Amino acid sequence: MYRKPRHSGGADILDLDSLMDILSCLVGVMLFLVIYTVLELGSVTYEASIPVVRQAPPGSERVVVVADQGRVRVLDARGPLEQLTSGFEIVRYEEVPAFVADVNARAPADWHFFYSLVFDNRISAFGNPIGAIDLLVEERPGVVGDSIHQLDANSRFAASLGALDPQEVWLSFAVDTESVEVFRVAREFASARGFATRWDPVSVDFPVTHILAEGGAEILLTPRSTLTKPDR
Amino acid sequence: MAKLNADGEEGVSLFPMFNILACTLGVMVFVLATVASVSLGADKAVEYAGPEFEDEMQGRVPTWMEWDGRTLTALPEGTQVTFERDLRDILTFDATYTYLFDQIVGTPMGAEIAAISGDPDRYLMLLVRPSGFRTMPELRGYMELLGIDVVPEPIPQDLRRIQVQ
Repeated sequence: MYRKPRHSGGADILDLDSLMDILSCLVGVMLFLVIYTVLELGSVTYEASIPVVRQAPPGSERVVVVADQGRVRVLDARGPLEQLTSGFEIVRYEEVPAFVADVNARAPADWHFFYSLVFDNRISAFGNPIGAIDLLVEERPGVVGDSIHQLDANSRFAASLGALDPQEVWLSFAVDTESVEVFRVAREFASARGFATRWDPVSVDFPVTHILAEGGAEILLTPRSTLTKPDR
Repeated sequence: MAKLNADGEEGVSLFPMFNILACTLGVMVFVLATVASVSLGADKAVEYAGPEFEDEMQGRVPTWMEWDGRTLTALPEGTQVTFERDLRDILTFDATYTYLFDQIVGTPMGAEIAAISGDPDRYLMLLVRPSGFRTMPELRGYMELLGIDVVPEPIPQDLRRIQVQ
């Protein structure tokens, strides 16, 4: 390195050579760090874990977890549906509209959703008029699910899972395109608590109207119930 | 460089030091940007390992494929087959499966799928990007029609480098 000749009688001169040496050395070290980091960057690998795939316990029921718009919400329609239909065994066709109005007064709800029944007159594939009772699921206004940063032991998701028994239910995640990351975290969370899980790529548009006659709540928010393409 | 006046008057020019400091600052900004990009995971590779099963699936060998809605890619070989038509736009599943068969048969991908189909000790680990969510039921249905057990797994859309075990 070039060094300026020292002043012969320079007792009072402020000499910056040493500072320059130090700075040059620092710059060299930092350049080395940059090159090393860039080289390391090419070999950085993250391992993505896939939880243990559990079989749903025999006789267990399906509970939907909606993972949409980067948030997760448990949609357990079993209780509200039981609440809406309990106390009735057989309802005559002409009494169905009154029945629906009656039971909707019960207004079952949970943290995230309102549940009600809808009576609809339809025309069958054979041209016959039929009456159908659908389950209507509506979002509670302003109540959103847990984001990836909120998924901890104090989250609503955790509380919802706490109310479920892993031996009695399994979780079916309905995952939209914006919710892959939050789904993975929520699934790990649920798996660690002993729940069997599955997932389906389902984009949910609330309010959801689900035809109870075609498989009941067991196929709520599955590709089977959301696909518009005929089965065969 | 610092210069003394000709008449020997004592003085110090800090100009060179400012140059060096500016250079140092520039390098530090560069270091910061690099470290930030590393911490954010830009250009990261993600390695996937097959899941563990609690049933007879455990012990079977996964064959890895990636689906993005248009292209089916075998991993890690990189063998691909691309579908020009949107599978969802095909009116029935029968027609969809016929189209898939026509596109795949006779290709290296077709040979790979046939190998999985004929081997009870293998299953298909299907990594699905969000762009492939819409048409996953069609592809999965086709594989299951061939007797292939499919285990789907969603992956981020922007993942560029995938490694599988």
